[in-house]
Amino acid sequence: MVLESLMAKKSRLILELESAKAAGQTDNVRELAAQAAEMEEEIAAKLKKEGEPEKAVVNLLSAASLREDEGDLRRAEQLFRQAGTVTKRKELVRIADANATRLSVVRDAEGVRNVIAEIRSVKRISVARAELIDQMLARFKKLCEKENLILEVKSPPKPTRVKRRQPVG
Amino acid sequence: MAKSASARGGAHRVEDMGALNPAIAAEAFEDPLVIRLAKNADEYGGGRMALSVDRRDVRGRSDSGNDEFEWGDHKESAEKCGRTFQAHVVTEKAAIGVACLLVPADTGLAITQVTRLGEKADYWLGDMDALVEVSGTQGDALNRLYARKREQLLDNPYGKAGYVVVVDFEGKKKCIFSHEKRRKRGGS
Repeated sequence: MVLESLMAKKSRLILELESAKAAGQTDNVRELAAQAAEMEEEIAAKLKKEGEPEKAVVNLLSAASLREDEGDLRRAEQLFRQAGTVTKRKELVRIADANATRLSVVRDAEGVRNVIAEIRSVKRISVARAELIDQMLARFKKLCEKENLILEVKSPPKPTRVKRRQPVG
Repeated sequence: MAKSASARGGAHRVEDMGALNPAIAAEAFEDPLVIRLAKNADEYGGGRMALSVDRRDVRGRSDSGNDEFEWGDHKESAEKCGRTFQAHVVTEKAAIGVACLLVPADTGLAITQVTRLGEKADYWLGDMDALVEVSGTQGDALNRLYARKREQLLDNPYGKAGYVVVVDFEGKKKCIFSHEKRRKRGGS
């Protein structure tokens, strides 16, 4: 398909997607996002091939955002990383990297949630599995620390109890 | 490159927005615009409404005039649209509808592509030459909304110039339509 007609078709899909989102049609959103993302990736590839990387990055960022709507976080992260390498604009590199890291944290957090669910369901786990989980949690904690996501919450001081005087008499 | 928004009022037909922006299926904004322009549901079947448009050039010089918007029969589709979307969604879509008519008429540029970045949809003009930031309101301060959208446009990460279209559909309907130069940044 030629670039212009691909762009037109994709733009129509994004507008449909925006409407589906506004109307709360979740299943439709996923389907439309997947289709539009596919086209954005194709457009970006064509633009890169034509020697237009600064245009391609717009479509790559769009593809990544659409993949996130689709629920394919792994692909979204890959596309954000790819976008960061295509452009020379510092602001776009920063946005691409920040989004890739955010998705990496979200995906790890999902992994942690799955592990907790697994432990709850099997009650006991093997030593080898426990070690793997340990490594995964350590990696997740490190990532959260690197991204400054861990908020130190100081517990409020316990109220001092005032001793009641025993009534005299 | 994008031209300045010319200082003149004009007459627009709502049903023209698809032909003026053939790449993006702009017809989707017809019904929301009819809903916001019509005085009541009876007018969904056809009507006319003036919008006071304050056109501002890149130097901030302002020129106000009335633009006329006319529409044909949208009775069934507009009622359906009103039942499908929440009021604020209709307002935002209606504002995009205004942009779909004003921008091509004044600048000769059509909206050629819609992309996404995060939760935000970006509307591109020409061969990714410029962006248009659009927003609508019903009764909130239009100047405040304009200032916010202008900042958003000037801060766009693509480093593009463009246009801002903000519309207040409440009571005496008003619109600010401005042409903005790109903000110069160091190091990018």
